[in-house]
Amino acid sequence: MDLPCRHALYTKAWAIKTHTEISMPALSRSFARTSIMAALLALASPSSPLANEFSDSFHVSAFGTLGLTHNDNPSTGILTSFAQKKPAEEGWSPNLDSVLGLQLEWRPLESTSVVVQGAARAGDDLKPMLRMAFLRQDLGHGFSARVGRMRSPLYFDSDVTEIGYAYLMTRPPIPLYGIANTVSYIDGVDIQWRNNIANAVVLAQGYYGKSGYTHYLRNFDSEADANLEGIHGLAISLITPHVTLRASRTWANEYTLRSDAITQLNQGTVLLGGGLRAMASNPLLPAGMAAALLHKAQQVEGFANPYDNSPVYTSLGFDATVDAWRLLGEATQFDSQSQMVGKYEGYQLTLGYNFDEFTPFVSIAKQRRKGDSLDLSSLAPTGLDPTIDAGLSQMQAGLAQASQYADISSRSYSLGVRWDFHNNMALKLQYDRIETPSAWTPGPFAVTTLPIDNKVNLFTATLDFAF
Amino acid sequence: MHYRYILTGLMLTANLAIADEQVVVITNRDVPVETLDNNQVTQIFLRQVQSWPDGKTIQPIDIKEGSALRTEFYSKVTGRSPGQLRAYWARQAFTGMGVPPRQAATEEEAERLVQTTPGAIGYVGKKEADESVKIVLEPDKTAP
Repeated sequence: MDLPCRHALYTKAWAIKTHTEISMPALSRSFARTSIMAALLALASPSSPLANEFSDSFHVSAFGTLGLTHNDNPSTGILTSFAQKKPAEEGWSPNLDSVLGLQLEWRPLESTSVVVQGAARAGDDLKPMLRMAFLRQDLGHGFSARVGRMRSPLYFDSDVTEIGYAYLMTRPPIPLYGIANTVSYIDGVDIQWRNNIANAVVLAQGYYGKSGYTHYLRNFDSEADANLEGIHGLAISLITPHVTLRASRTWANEYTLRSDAITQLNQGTVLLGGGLRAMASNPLLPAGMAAALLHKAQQVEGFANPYDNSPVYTSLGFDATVDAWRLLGEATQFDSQSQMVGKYEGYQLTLGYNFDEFTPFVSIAKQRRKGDSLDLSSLAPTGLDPTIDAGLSQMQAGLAQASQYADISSRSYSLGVRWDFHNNMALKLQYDRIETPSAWTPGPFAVTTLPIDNKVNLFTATLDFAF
Repeated sequence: MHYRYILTGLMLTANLAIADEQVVVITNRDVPVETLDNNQVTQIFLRQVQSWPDGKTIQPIDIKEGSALRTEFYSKVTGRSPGQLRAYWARQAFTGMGVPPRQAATEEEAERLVQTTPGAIGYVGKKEADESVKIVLEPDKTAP
């Protein structure tokens, strides 16, 4: 490298160092709102890391969305995930899409990098959350590995869901991504393998880890701790210059949901199960009836922790850019392997057309519950003990209602335009109509009581940026 | 007032001159390929393909955003607008799946980096390309 070139790189490195020094105090104040904005403004320069040379080993970058959404429905709040604390209620709200993110990347060697990313969402009171914190190592022969916290790979756009600037629309369709966004990260390891085959690139990603989040149970007016253990899966992408195809399947060995409301339900199952066992132990009962009561006791006790399951997430999607056209599509299946939570199939199709800085788009999405609903026949009265029967009826009614609240079926129609009006900034306007199959289906909405007005009209304006 | 029009005219002419200059894709002389097509170059600059046929790492050299030559290169070779490219790299960077190519400040620097970096590939105006690098694609010749 000759001297002028070295000088240019030195000057560049100095510029980055200066920006870093400006932004570091903001970091130390833990994402305080004004400091984040100051840091973002400090980064908003031609020497920002997205546009930087890789000869610098330390990079600071940021992304964000300032958004306002109007919801015309007084009976439902709108969420992008079930882990979102504050929904976008009737009227105008910043809660749905507004987010600020900051990323630090250190590359001590060409083949080694450490990445830490935090995000603070308006819907979560701007509480900072760790989205990525991993060590990446290139292993040679097309292999690389990451260890630490990574963004979720469940669906095609799961990893980009809150990075509005990187997405065509304001957000991936809520009917499909409400459930996928809820599992926003995996703590664990992934191995990636990239290889050229003919004129395409194959990228295979295997992953293993665990995740967790706070699940807001609006109908119980409470929150629950959700944990996913033993998450493992494989995603295979076929990448050509203009089309990316991706197929993935992810299993979680165990999903658990724990809260005070669920503990109360569990206590009820123990009491009722104990009552049924006591009845079965009556020596005056015929043997067949005693055995039936014991079986019923087991079934009742089986309703403890009714939301626990072993989910399987499947996605088959594509992203095509052909001349000015952009077409995205995805088919998904979410199978909780639990009658309470259910099995769902869905799809989305999005079409955009690029006119210079403007890209208008339309999108449809649908997710429907499939398979059997929760079988509560084992909670039918015994006809032997009024107190036990009253308890069984109460539990039957409670679980029937809980099952109704667990139905996340919905569909959406969206129309909007993206305007890339400035380097690294885009304005988007989007209209969504989201509806559930009936007034008794809450879908992905934040609902405290049923029935609801099951049709929602949303109007969203966002400013997305990435520096 | 006249001066302002003349100045604006000169600036437009200068921009058009830059934009009209034929872009060519060049590689370090040791790179084991003689020609590439638009699709292959697209995959390289989007860092989808990361190694040459001999297994050595590809080092794409980009030119800073704002350059007319860069806009022309991406438009002609990849069919992507600057906005589409920025969104693509935002996705790669913020999902931890990739980083953009190294960027040179000028065409001259890009050519120097391609000359001196093993496995490097870049693009310059046709007039800039000399014997010290290999021309592997002339998009204007391959365009329909």
